[in-house]
Amino acid sequence: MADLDPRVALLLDKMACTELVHRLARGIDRCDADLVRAVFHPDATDDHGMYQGTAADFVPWVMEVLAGMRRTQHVIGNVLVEVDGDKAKGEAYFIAHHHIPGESGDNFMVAAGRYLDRFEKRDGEWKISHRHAVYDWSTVAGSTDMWDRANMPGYAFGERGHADPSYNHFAGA
Amino acid sequence: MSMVRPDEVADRLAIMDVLNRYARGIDRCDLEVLRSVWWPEAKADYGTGEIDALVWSDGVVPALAAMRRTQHFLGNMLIDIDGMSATAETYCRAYHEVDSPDGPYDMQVGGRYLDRLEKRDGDWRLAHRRYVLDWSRNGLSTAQWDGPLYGTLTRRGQRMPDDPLYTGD
Repeated sequence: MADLDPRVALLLDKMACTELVHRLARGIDRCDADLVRAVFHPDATDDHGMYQGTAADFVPWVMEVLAGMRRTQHVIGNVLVEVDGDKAKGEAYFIAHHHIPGESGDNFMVAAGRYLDRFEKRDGEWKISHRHAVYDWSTVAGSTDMWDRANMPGYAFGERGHADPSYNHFAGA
Repeated sequence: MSMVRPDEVADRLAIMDVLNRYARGIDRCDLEVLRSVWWPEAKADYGTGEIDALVWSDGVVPALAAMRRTQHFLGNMLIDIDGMSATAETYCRAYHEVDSPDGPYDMQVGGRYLDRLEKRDGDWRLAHRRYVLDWSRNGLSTAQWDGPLYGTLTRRGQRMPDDPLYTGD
């Protein structure tokens, strides 16, 4: 690594940080606590506004929040990463889609904002040391999803946990 | 999964380009670009069974052209590279505007592409694509293209060869 072109080294650092943002989104959308935990340093912290504390405690908190929803998709867009040695700061735009059961039918809530992350490279590995979620806009309306999931054989639908097709996919099945 | 390794930077960037080029081919109805993302024997399964990806491409372009407009917005990409092959998951937020008896109608779909890619002679392309559906949102279009604000935004997306991408306008 020492003889790496500094421009390539910078690219690698930026890629690694962006990768963490994508892995965290995957962990959340699949409700995979292990995946979420794995992107944070052991002493990392999180500020989601309604949750402020350690990343370790964020995991069970967010899993409970997610359990109240049918499904989510956190789409990440623009990711700006500024690297400074073994530390980095990120700003990642997100549009988060939430399908939520309601008393008079399901709702579809879209929340958009930015994740302001701090990353640290320890023992050669980048992980998130702090995440701060900032909210920019949102919309909510009754769900207009028309898929009859139980009667659409052949189609692959997103699932929580290892039932999602992505697990077999990455396992090479 | 999906750790970024020094010797894989160029491969990762090339794979991202292939994934992005697919969206361009689809949204611009550019069959040549769309066909260029697949290996000749590539297979695709969008839910109606696994078929030849090039055959699928030939059929999907006229179907897309019959829609008013589309945008396949790609987000998160997780890419596992293993030598000459790679496994990837790409988030997509797809917007389709179609005609309906009541006027223009929006169909938005959140999904993911589960891909297997192969590198041959230095070139990365898709060998297999499976599409996963996550959410959808449907309703009459609320698009507004006139008035003091929107009316000034005159450079609109088109299909090949009329898009500014091709005309240079």
